[in-house]
Amino acid sequence: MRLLRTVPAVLLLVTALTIPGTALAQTGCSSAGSADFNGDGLDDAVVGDPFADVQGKEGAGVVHVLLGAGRSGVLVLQSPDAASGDSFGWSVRTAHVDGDRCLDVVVGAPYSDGDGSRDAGAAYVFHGTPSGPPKVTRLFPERQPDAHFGWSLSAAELPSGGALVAVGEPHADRAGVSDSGAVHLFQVGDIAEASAIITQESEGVPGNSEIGDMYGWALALGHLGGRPGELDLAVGVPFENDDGAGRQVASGKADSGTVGVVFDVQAARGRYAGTTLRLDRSGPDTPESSDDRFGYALDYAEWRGDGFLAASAPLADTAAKDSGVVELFVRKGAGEVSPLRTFQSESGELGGWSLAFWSPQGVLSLAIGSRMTSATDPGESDVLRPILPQSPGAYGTPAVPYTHVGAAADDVGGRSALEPGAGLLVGLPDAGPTGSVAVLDRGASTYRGPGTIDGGASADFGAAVAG
Amino acid sequence: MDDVLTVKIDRHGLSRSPGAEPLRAGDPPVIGPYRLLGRLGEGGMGTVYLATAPTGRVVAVKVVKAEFTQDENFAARFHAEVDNARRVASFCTAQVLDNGDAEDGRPYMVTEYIAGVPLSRQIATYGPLEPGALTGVALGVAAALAAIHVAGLVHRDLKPANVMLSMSGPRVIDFGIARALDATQGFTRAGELLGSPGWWAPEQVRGEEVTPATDIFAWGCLVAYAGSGRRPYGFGDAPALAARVLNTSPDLGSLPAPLDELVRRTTHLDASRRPTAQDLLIALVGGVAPALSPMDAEASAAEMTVTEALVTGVWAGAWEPPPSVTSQPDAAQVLGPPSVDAVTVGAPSVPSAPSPGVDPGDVARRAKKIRLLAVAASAVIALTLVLGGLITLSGGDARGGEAAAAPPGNTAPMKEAPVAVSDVGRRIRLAGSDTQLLVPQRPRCGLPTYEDTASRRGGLCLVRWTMVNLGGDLAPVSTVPPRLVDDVGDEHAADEASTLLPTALVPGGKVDGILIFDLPLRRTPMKLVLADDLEVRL
Repeated sequence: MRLLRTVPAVLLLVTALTIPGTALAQTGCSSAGSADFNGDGLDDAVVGDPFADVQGKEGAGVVHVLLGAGRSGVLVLQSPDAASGDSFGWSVRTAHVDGDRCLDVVVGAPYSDGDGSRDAGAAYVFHGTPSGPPKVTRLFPERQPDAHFGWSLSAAELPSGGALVAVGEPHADRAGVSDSGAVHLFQVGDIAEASAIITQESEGVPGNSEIGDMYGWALALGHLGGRPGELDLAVGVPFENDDGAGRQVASGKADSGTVGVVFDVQAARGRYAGTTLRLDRSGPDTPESSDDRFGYALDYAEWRGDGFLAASAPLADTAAKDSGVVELFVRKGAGEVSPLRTFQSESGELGGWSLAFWSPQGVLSLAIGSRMTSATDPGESDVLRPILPQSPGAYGTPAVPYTHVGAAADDVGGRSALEPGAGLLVGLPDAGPTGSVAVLDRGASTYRGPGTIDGGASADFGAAVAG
Repeated sequence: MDDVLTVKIDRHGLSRSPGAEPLRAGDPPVIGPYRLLGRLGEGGMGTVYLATAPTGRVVAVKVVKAEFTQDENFAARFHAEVDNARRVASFCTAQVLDNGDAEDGRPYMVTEYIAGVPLSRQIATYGPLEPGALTGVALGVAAALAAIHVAGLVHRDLKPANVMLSMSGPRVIDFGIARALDATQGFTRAGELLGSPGWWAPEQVRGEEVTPATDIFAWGCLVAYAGSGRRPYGFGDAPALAARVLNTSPDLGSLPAPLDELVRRTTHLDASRRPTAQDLLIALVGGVAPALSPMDAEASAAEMTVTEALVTGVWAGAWEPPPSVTSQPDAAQVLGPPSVDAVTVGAPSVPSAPSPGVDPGDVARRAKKIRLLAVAASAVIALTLVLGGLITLSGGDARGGEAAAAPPGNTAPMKEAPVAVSDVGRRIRLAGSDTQLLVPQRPRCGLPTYEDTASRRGGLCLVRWTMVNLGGDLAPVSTVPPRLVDDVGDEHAADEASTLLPTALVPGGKVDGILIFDLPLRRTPMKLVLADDLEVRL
């Protein structure tokens, strides 16, 4: 058990907070909205810009907090340890980790060097505040070169107060196995406590740590069949081979991928129970094959008392080679997660490089991000395809794709996306030279650009989003 | 409350009527029927006098230098151009009143006399403008350019000294004769470049055709100067400034949105990528992200409707006097700052901004321009009210200088996602691989040295790159020696000090590097070639 230091952050206040809409910020966090970093009552959007330059540090990365989803200015957060090439903002998630009602932001910097370990990675919690520099809590693991701690994140509130933050380290060499991967858990409140490191070798965790599995590539905390009130953890292992029990190398179906679910991940304290989700077990229509990469992206939502997990296999062969599949699972009582529906494209590419639940018109829907554009086919790719249930409980057919031309999505989501009336935040890091985000609300899109960075410039604004 | 849009005015300069220097020994007492009162200024092209017309009206008379009159066709061209200039709507320029030939044969032009302070003197004396006033100047000058361009003219010498901050708003002066002069004595023939050093556009320096886009470039430099107090190309002699214009991007300082984005777009080295004056007006008044190809007939109707609605909105409140301006977001905040590379999706980009008026057959376009001009006019009237109001307020109140609320960064909403026409900032996936390449920022060019490398051919261009493997396998990267293709199609090999791309990248691996190219003067990088199927548009 390790106590992590809490330090004051370096915060770049790009926009004067004297403009209307932020004036309320002085009153503290008590009137904060549900996803409100500065407590002014308006939900904020958080956008990673991991290749941005800041204060002359090339590629150090920043995170933009779009106050009021961009209506009230932008706060630019930078790492307290900023150095060139950190890629701070590679991943972002939000949660309420401390006692106030201001939203807190978790940021991954997987290429941060530490203690002589190149690209070991780091993660930070920025505590939301009405004014002044936010407090920052560092989340550091034992440093391992090229492990990329902070590659993925998930955060969820604990019933006892504070939050559980899961940090993926997919390129960690665990038990001497190269790139087998690990997930670190932190219990974060006013301070942070490292509480567990989970690998496929952990007791009770399904699977084995094999070369290049990259356990921890994607993460989702939720209630997936463990004890009521306890958090379960879904872990994407997209480069796992389906090669039977035991430890193999380069055999079976390479990189078909799995999703491992660990029940009661915080309470188990090292003696876990779990289950493995695979594409071939999800339904007759979804044959598993090599290089499906099931588990590449995950998202979890609770909706009318049920827990839902979405997991993608962006290179699964369905309508066409590599067109992609997304599986929807639902919690079915204790220790059981059942496939509910398979989404695949009727024609063309479905994608699945990013996933987010949201609720346009009050129905649970899924936004599916396409992949980044290729050199040979720039410009024209779908951003997302919300899939609207036809009726509650039916989770019907894929709707007509909601297509954005000329941009690519790398991350979609937003904590507030399930709030009634809230829009969906879509990252468009390739839109224009700096990138952009789209806020989708009732069929209308509003695009927002980055804030102004002190001594630097945006490069990949929208590579990760949360709200 | 009035601080937000305050322009500090040199009250002495304003009140010193008629505000001109005394005549000098060699100055004539009269030019044509105009009795000279004093000197307003002197430049490379001629001298401007303050004079009274026979009617008693105070006017400005500009006489070109005698050397220009050696070209026997000059006078005819001059008068033809001035006749053109007389067509320009006068609401944001100095109206052209008359033209003729002086006793010594030198042609002259008579314009309305604008009492006020040149923007150059305002900045030099009081420093950069505050955001509100800056937006006002940007809008007024853009409106003036729209009027000039719609009349088929190009100013060619737009600079802070040619923008007067007057009681009735900013006015652009001194246009209409540069073109006649340019035809006489172009850069390539006489070695003298018309216009003013430090405010040239690259194509002007290269001796290429000067189009309305040249004025747009100058608008960007002028707004940047007014907002930062710094000359975008600094100081120096003409050859040094010319080299800088060709090889470096202007220093645009830190401007409030959306001016930052607009200024960046207007100072694009490629004239065809700059917005038009009408685009600027729309962006500044209405928040419609300008299409790059405003002549695209398809874009017209909806755009106009929106623009008119927004101008109505301007009348309805956004430009009301200062009290309401302070209590609601600056008009600049509701504008949609277009991406520097934004283009209308699917619309072919026009190779260069067409010269208005050369296409008289297209009645529809003409009509659209005129309607736009009407929009511009109403915007300027609104603007004039504001600026006029503030100068008056400022006269009775020495304050002014408190910062206005800064408009939020670059976050004004946009209706369309910005679209990249270059690959800067865009991750490029290598064919058949999960490896992505990113050139995060535009090349930095014109550097004499970088670390231990010195330019031998003109200036160094630095191209940064980042490569990351998002897949599960060791990714081989097949590359050729990096080449940079410049704007005339020449290829340049990377300097030895460059970081070359890796031959393979482990899963999750990320490498950052920099490529160094030595380019001749006046070349701009267009494309980076890294493999047979991997090209990066810069």
